[in-house]
Parts: sequence; C-alpha cells; structure tokens
Amino acid sequence: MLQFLRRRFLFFFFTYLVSSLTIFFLLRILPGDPARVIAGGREATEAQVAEIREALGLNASLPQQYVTWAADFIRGEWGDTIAFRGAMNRDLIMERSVNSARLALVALLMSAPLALALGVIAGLFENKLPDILISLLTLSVVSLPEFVTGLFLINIVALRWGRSELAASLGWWFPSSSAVPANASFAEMLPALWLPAFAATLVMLAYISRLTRAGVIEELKRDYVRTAALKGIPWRMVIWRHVLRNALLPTVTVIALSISWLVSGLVVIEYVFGFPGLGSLLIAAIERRDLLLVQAIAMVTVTVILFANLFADVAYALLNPRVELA
Amino acid sequence: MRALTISRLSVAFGRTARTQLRHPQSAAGTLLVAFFLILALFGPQLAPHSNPNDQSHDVRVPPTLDPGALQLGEHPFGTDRLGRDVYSRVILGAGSIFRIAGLGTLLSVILGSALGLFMGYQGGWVDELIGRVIDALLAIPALLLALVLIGIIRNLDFAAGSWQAALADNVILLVISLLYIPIVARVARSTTLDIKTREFVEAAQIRGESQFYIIFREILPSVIPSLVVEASLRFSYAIFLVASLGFLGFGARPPSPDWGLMVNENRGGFYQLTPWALEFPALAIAILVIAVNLMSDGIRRAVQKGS
Repeated sequence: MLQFLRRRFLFFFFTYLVSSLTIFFLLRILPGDPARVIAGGREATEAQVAEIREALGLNASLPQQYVTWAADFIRGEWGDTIAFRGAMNRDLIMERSVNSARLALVALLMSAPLALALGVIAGLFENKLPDILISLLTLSVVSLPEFVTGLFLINIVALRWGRSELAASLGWWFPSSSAVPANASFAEMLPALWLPAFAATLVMLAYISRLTRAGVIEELKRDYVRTAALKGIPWRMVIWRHVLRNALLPTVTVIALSISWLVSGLVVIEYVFGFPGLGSLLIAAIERRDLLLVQAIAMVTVTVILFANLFADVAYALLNPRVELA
Repeated sequence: MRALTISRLSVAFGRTARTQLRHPQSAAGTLLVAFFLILALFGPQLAPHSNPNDQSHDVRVPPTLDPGALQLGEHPFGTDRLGRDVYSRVILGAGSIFRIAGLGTLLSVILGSALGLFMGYQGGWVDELIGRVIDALLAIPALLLALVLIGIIRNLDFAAGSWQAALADNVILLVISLLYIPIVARVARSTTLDIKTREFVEAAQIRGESQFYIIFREILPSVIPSLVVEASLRFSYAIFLVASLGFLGFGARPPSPDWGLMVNENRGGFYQLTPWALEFPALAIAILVIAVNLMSDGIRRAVQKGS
C-alpha cells in the first residue's frame, strides 16, 4: 500500500513536470516571437516588442525562463492580463474557476445517479432489449457534440418553451438567457446554470454509464455470483448485496475521472451558452493573443485534472486493498 | 507471408461485414458513413452550385424541400442571409471534415503504431520512459491542447509559400494527428507486448531475422485487428473534434462551407431570421457523428468476436 502511494505520488510529480514543460515550451519552441505576438503582430514597432520581451524576461536562457515561470505560477503570481485591461490574471481565473466549478458540480449531481442507474440496468440485461435501447441512446443522442445539444437546448427549451405560459408561471426557473454577470452568487446563477449543466450531463452520461455497464457485466461472470445463486440466495439479493457492491467500486474512479472529461466539454458548453466560466475565458484569451493568460489557464486546468486523477487512484486503492499499480 | 496476411485480412473483412449485418444499427451507421463519403468525394458534381459562395439575390429564402412530394425545389435547404444556397454548402462541407478527420486519423495510426510497435518490442527503459511521457501528455485535455496550439500557430505570420505557411494552413490536420499519436501508440504497444512472447516471434528471432522484419512482418499482422478498432474510434473522435473546432472558430475560416463554422455563423440573432441555415449543417453533423459511432461500435464488436 505504502509502496503504491509512493509510486503514485512520484508519477503525479513527473506528470506535473511533463505537462508544465509542454505548456511552457509550446509557446517558446514554435517558430515566431511570442513578444511580437503579444505586441500585436506585424504592426508592432521594434521598441514595443523589445519592451515586452524585457518585461516578460524573454532575454534570459530558456531553462532559466522556465524556472522563473514555474516559480511564479506556484507563488500565484500569474501576471496582468492584456486582453482584459486592468485585471490580474489570478483574480480573473479564480472568479471564472468558481463559476466553472459550480457548473461542474450541478452537472455531476445530475449525471452521476442517472448514469449509474442506466449503466446498472444495461449491465443486468446484457444484450437484451433494455441494454440495446440504452446503448442506442448513449451512442446516439448523448454522443453528439456539445455544441449541437447545447444549441438544441437553447433554441428549443429556452427560446421556444421559455416564452410559453407554462414557463412564465414557473418564473425564474426558466432562464431567458444564460448570460449572467461573472461575479453573481450561486443562487443568482442557478437559473442560468441548469441548462448548460444539463448539456454537460449528457456528455458525461455516455461515459459513466458504459463503464458502469462493463463493471456489472464483468462482476456477474464471477464464480462467487454463481456460488451464491446455487446456494439458493434469491437473485435479487445476489444483485444488491454482492454484484452491485463490487461493481460500483470503480465508479469512484469514474466520477473523479469524468472531471477531466468535464473540463474539455465545459469549454464548448460555456462558449455556446455564453456562460462566464474558465472555458469561455480560455477562448477569449486565445482570440486576443493573451499568451500569459492562456498559459495560466492551461496550468490551472492541468492542476485540477492531475489532482482529480490522484484522488481517484488513492481513493480506489483505499477502498480496494487488492489494488496494485499497473 | 503476404498472401497469408491478405487472406487473413479478407476473412476478417467478411466477418466484419457479416457481424455488421447482424446488428442493424451498425449496418445503418456504415451505410450512412458511405453516403457521406460519396458526398465528400463527389460534392462539387452533386451540389447544384459547385461554388459554395455563389450568391443570389434571393436572401433568406425558406427551404423549398418537400419530403412528402419528394421534391427538392430550387433551394432545398433555403438560402442564408447572403443568399448562398445552404443545400450546396452542406454537400460541399462534407469534403473538408472527411479530409481533415480521415487524413488526421491515418497519419496518427501510421506514426502511432510504428512508435507503439517499437516501444513494445524494444521494452526496457526506452519503453518505460516514452510510456510515462505519453501518460503525462494524455493528462492534458485534447481540446485544450488543440485550442492552444491552433491559436498560437495561427497568430504567427509566415512568408507566403514557405514550408511554415504550408504547415500553418494544415494546422488542424497536424494537431489531430499529434493528439492521437500517443493514444494509438499505447494501444499498439500493449498488443505488441502480448504478441511478442508467442512462438512464431521466438522462431523468427532464432532464425536470426532483423528487428525490422520481426516487427513489421511477424508482429504487425497480429496487431492490425486492434489497430483497426482504434482507428475507427479515433476517426469518430476526429470528426467530433473537427466539428467542435469549426464551431469555436478555430477550424476552417469563413467563407468556407465548414459545417461547424456554418452553425456558429448562423446562431444568436441570425437564428431567428434563418433557422434553416443553422439547422441543416447541425443536422448533418449530428447524423455523421452518430453514424460513425455506430459503425465503429460495429467494427469493435466484430473484431472482438473474431479474436
């Protein structure tokens, strides 16, 4: 166990190193001058470019630049934004991260129970009608790109139904638009939150339910299930007491892993719904050539994902003492 | 050896076809993909306007398609706010999504499987190091990496006609292959690890065959089934990614008839004016994504049954 934890933490730091190197060098190794890109491309004067190069410390050697940059990131000094004048990268990212986390939380609360139920049903009825229907559902509707389902939800639910009398009687629960101020409180944001969260739910549904299905099918083939059935234990009891308990163990991992899925899915969903989260900030930052902001967002995202993966593995190891690091 | 490989592959192909037929949803998916492939290949001949940016004075014409009477009319899917024929644009848009997703998949499968075969056969610290780096790279979400790469490369300016400019023009294709090379390599590696302990590989080693020969003539044929499954899966993700990037404004540039771009250009306020200009390309994306998913699911099932 201790050895597992040690190797897992070692891998965590190695992964962190490789991904931070990737993010850093992506912006340096490519042909072209980052200072010139920040200064505004070809129109920028030599003096402007030189000034930015000095300010960013681009005159130092590459390894030196990396160390300075990494140390600044750890200390929370992420610089000022160029795209959103007057704001600090850290404040901007923190505010948007909170919003994205709210969206992710609501989406997880919606999708996890639904996906587990669908996955268990599909697994118990392997290759029978319920399984076929569920797999058709997860392969089709749910596998659509986020922007297609998102636009469908906006146009049908928000614009068409949102103007009906039913929606008017439901009041604030029906959002007329999901554009909310970035610093709104959770309660203020909730009406604008559930529609994009539902779109994110659909993205995760397929993933979680298919893994759950595979877990249930695998567990049903075990010897102890047959033994329990032959002992005369009612099948219902075998399922609830034995199969589900073991099959659902990996779902801890699955849910933590779906956080990294969520991160990329949220970029598109936030953009479609105009939701002020980290994903829409990333797109704005790239469009406005704010390379420092892009780097900081990428680092924050990777940090969240790596911690989620670490948590998943450690939690799984604690729950299942037989685990060994593959 | 080659004859044997070909006959084995044709048997596998026949089995795939039969399994596909037994599952109607996979057969339907495959047929739909074939239909879109025809559109992609013969789009300019099939579309009423072979230039996607032909403008007429009839702006915002509603769809003239009448499914009941089986009539297409002059503008089956209507025209957009600039008077361009949406039907022609949807047909012509199939070409770019198939070209980028298809070539990207092909490139990543070739390079990724070469890397994976080498890693798996070589073993030792080389394999361990590359494997760990691959694991670490895969921790970064593909879309994030794609957006950052495309965003940067597009903002660099290169002299027209230079190799860098050619590279920047095909940046999406390159990014897709770059993203999928490590994933394909991982699959090829794990299958190779399994195959290389078999007797026929040992026999070749004892015969004194070269490493190149063993990897490509002895091991590769046995790795192909799992590569086919992975390739079809990668293709479905690539279609998804190309459509999403186009929608986010990081794919094809206007005025090209890219489906994702068309959806993005016609949302918001324009949706109220010309809903059809958004709905038909969105429908095309939806049908293609589902069809590719059903097809790759069928391929996976067939190959798993065969092994």
